[in-house]
Amino acid sequence: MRFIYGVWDGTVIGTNSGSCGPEFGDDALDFNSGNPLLAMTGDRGFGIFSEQVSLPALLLRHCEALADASCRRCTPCRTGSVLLRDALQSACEGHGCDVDWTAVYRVAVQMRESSLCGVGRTGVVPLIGALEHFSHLLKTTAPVQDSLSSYSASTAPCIEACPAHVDVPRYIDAIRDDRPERAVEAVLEHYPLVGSCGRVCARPCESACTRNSIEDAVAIRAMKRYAADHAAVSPGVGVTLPEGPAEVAVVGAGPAGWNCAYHLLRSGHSVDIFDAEAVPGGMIRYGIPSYRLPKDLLDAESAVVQELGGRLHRAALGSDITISSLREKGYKAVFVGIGASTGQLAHLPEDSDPPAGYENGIDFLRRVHDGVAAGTPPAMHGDVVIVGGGNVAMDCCRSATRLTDGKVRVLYRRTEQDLPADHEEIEDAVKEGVIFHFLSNPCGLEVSDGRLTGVRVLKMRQGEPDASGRRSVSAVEGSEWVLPCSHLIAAIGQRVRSGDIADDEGVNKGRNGVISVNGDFATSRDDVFSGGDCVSGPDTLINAMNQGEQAARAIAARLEGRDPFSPRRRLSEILKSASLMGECRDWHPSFPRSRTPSLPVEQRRSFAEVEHTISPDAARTEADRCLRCYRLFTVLTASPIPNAD
Amino acid sequence: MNAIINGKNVTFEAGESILAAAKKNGFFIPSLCAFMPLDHKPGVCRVCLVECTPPSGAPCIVPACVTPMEEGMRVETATPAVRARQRMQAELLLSEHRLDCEACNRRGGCELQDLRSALGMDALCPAPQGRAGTPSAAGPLVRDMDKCVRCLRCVTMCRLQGASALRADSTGKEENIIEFTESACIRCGQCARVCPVGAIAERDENAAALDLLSSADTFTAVIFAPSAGEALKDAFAPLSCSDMEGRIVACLRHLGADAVINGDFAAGAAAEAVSAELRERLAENAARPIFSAVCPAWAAFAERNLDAPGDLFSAVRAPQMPASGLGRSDLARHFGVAEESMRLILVSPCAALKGDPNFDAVLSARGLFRLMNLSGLTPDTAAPESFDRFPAPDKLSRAGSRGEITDAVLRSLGARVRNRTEAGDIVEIEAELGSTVLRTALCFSCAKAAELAAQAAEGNSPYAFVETLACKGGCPCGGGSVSLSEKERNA
Ligand SMILES: Cc1cc2nc3c(=O)[nH]c(=O)nc-3n(C[C@H](O)[C@H](O)[C@H](O)COP(=O)(O)OP(=O)(O)OC[C@H]3O[C@@H](n4cnc5c(N)ncnc54)[C@H](O)[C@@H]3O)c2cc1C
Ligand code: SF4
Ligand code: SF4
Ligand code: SF4
Ligand code: FES
Repeated sequence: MRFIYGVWDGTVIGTNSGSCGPEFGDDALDFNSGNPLLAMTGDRGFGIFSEQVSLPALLLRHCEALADASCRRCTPCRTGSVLLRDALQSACEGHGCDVDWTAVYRVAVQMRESSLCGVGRTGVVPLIGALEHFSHLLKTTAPVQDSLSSYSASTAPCIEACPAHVDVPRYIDAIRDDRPERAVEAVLEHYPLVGSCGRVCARPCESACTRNSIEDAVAIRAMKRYAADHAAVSPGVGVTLPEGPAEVAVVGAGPAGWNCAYHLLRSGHSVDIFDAEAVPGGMIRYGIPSYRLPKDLLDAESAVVQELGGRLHRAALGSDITISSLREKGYKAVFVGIGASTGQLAHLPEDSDPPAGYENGIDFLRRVHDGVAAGTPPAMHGDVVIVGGGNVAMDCCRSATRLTDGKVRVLYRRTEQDLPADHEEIEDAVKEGVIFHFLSNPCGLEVSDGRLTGVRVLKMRQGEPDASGRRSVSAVEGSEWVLPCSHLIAAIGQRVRSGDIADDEGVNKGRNGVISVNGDFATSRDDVFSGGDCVSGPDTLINAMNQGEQAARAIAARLEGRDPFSPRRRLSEILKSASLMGECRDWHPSFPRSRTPSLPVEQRRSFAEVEHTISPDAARTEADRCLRCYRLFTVLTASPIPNAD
Repeated sequence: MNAIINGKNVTFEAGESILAAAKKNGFFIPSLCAFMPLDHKPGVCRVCLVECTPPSGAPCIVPACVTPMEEGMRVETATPAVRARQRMQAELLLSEHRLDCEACNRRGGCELQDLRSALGMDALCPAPQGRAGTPSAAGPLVRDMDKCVRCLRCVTMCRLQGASALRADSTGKEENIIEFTESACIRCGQCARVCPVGAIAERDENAAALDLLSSADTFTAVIFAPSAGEALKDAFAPLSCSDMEGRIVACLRHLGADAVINGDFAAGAAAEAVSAELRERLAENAARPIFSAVCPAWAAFAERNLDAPGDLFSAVRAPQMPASGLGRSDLARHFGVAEESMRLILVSPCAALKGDPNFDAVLSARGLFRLMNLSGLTPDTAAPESFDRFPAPDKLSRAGSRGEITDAVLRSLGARVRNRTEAGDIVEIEAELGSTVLRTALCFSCAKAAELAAQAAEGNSPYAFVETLACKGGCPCGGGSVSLSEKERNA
């Protein structure tokens, strides 16, 4: 599909020009099913696919959205966006000939050059392109016929990178304005675990942050935590649920299931939640150690689902209940979020009959959790060896330093640069005394009297890079050595427990036993949805919460007989597939990232929280670092777009 | 460190903004939102645009106030292209400003007018289409948000005052981005001192005061607070004349005051009353200090925000009219006039005293300054006169130069000050009272004082007496003293 005309990155594109602009593939592009995309605007320009579209009408939609998106903070954008919108309004009414387009152009360029943030700086790009190359189309003498539908959204690199599309700059603004409660509200639109996520999120947003290209990402996660620590906001009160038995059964009270319930309840649907455990949280409760995520905080933040009317029942899928039994009980829809909770051993000959002292990381962390919760953390003696280099391995080794009187080592089969764990986690582990052995892999155990006494280790060698650029590793023959230890913990991945959903339940599964779903998180069985680690495999908190939210949206639409289409999600797909979002190329002075205060290393023998919250001054300074890289997009279609408002 | 501004080699310190470096080197860059006395640089007005060529990049347009200088940077502050950008910003600001300059309390002292005169107006920009609305009054202040230029200075000031009654609306959905929570306002009036335009101003009582002063059927006495003298010294500093207070007394008489009374008795009477409370507290041997509540803004802050036991606070409030035996009737008797024809005007730099029912009008120091200006009176041409005698106890102590009563309280207790240390917003005073040592604190920040009160409520206070003045610099820097914005502007 090609633009017939437009201006993209400052050059004229389209059928009559040398350049064709962004690549959308060959087929006509539907925005929603049966409703083709007719035109779009963005931070890099505009493009029109169909003769049906009038340029003033397209630009008016865009500039209306611009005036609306303006935060009204800086002079050029606050005042200019209104002037531009009014000029285009005149053009659409047929008075384009009377508009002083030279003045309009000057205002637009002023906004481009001097606005405080991306809204004003990039929101004017389509109009500037139009005025430079197609100004004759704006000098209307008759009213413009405009019966098309449109959808506009503003986004930013951090927002696109966040699976839940949390409006990051919005909550950073609120923090800068001393409005932590408003920051929390922005997050509560997506999930209730604000402070928990503010402590442990894998923060894909920070990896995408524009400031990375200047000096260092904005400390987005620390600010979310700051907001949660400084505001008491109670989410979603006043929703009345229907009388009678609950409509939806959610199986699994981990982040995916819990968030699915949260959104269903907020949209007025009653929910019963079933979990094999008595309390919610899943892996973030039993996996993540308390020194990273205090469990009283998790308790407090989880409680909202019950306050909203969700009822938690203790029952295990596969033994106490089945999907079919839930359907027979009358639940109109079922959500399955049972995670990937089975740990794996290190693929050693001894795996079939592990000696005392050898276990997997998930079981170990569970024992640690239970001990810490009961006030008696499990005692360990002697040296501890952890196998693996991911975040679970970091949780295991850092927990072990708090428990054992011996040394704690990590064996990782690749190099230091390949470690998948969060770099701050690794730094903390090193500070806390963990010793790393790279290019090292276990191949067997030393056992005496049924107890582990050591692990046999092979040295590894790097091979040539494969297609993905990653270098394979292989064992160096004859390099075996023995590392004495009394504990070996394998932290090399988790799986979905296979028996929980029997084959006759009608729910298809894919590789590694993960549940297969479509774009709306519906499984192969009618009215059964799924999300989280049991769909993605071991992933992240925010991924699980987002999939829970998306599934809830689809379930609510199903219950209400609506189209589940999400224009916001669809826009993101298009932005991604055609790489429509421009990079920020403006020069910005450098300001160092604020540092997060933490517990002195000497005091880290307990499970007390290590990271602390930043000060109000630091929060404001950090908030000022955000460039607010908002970019505004508008799409035009012939038929109405479901859920566009 | 070295860089080039307008072709001239300049030196600067690490972290210094382009705006500061340019100013230091004598290059004028128009600016509006930045306010250096508060280190306030929100970077929102975008007036201070300059062209900067960082050593690592191409020329670009940046706001000078929030862009730090870099080694080897080249800056142009006044090329025709740069001036055109700055000018358009002023035009855009004016396009949404409610232009009622002739009636505005900031006429002549308005920073937006300054911008207009520094930059001129291009006719190209769409015609001004100011907003229309009604100003709203709250306590000592009148807020006319249709004149707000969104510089956010008031928000920063109010946060520094500890009140945060003015906050920016972070949603950006409101036309007026300054949200005012009246219940949090402590009426210190500091916001009005920093507003660059007439969007927040003290209630203007000049006309009412002139009516009273010029009326022949009334006897109008002006009570002149000593801190107003301090504040006016500041305002009239360029005239550099001696005995400012005496000259202002003469001007007030010239304006029609039938009597001008030195208001220092009020602080003296307050000190007397507070020391009596303190003497009692010390006799009880209680560990708990007394917190002065004479400063009305601090008293309002404490009432709203502190959950402290009642006896932590002194019962003495400002002003000390009744306590000193200086009610309307006493004065009428003293001057031999009928009580019904007695009128009282207070002149004080304290904004929080505006509207006090003991007076028929309260003129701020700034108000009196304006009133003198518009009446064509200047202190340098008036011969000093003395205050009228008045019937207050004569051996009262005076307040300190910042309006504080701590020293007066200690004196009337019979304590001798032996040490005084000032750190940040707190002055610690150590005094000997017989064989015991009293520690007291004088605090210029409500937030800091709240911490001291919390400490005291837990029984851990090292102090016997804590005095708080809500405004930094004390009463002469109250919300009704000279406008910081105008002072900066003339600097
Ligand atoms: C040690 C560890 C550390 C981690 N650290 C981070 C981190 O720092 N940041 C991050 O973003 N992510 C982290 N993760 C990943 C994150 O915890 C998971 O991605 C997330 O918890 C997945 O949520 P979920 O709801 O899909 O599954 P889970 O959290 O696994 O929850 C599944 C829920 O279902 C219940 N359940 C399971 N089987 C059944 C059954 N048969 N019947 C009924 N109920 C059942 C479980 O009891 C549990 O409550 C970590 C994971 C681990 C293991
Ligand atoms: S600078 Fe701010 S808006 Fe831009 S990507 Fe980073 S956090 Fe998001
Ligand atoms: S008077 Fe003082 S407390 Fe009230 S809004 Fe102004 S600065 Fe804030
Ligand atoms: S009220 Fe005055 S000080 Fe406050 S933001 Fe508006 S113009 Fe600035
Ligand atoms: S003075 Fe620099 S942006 Fe306002």
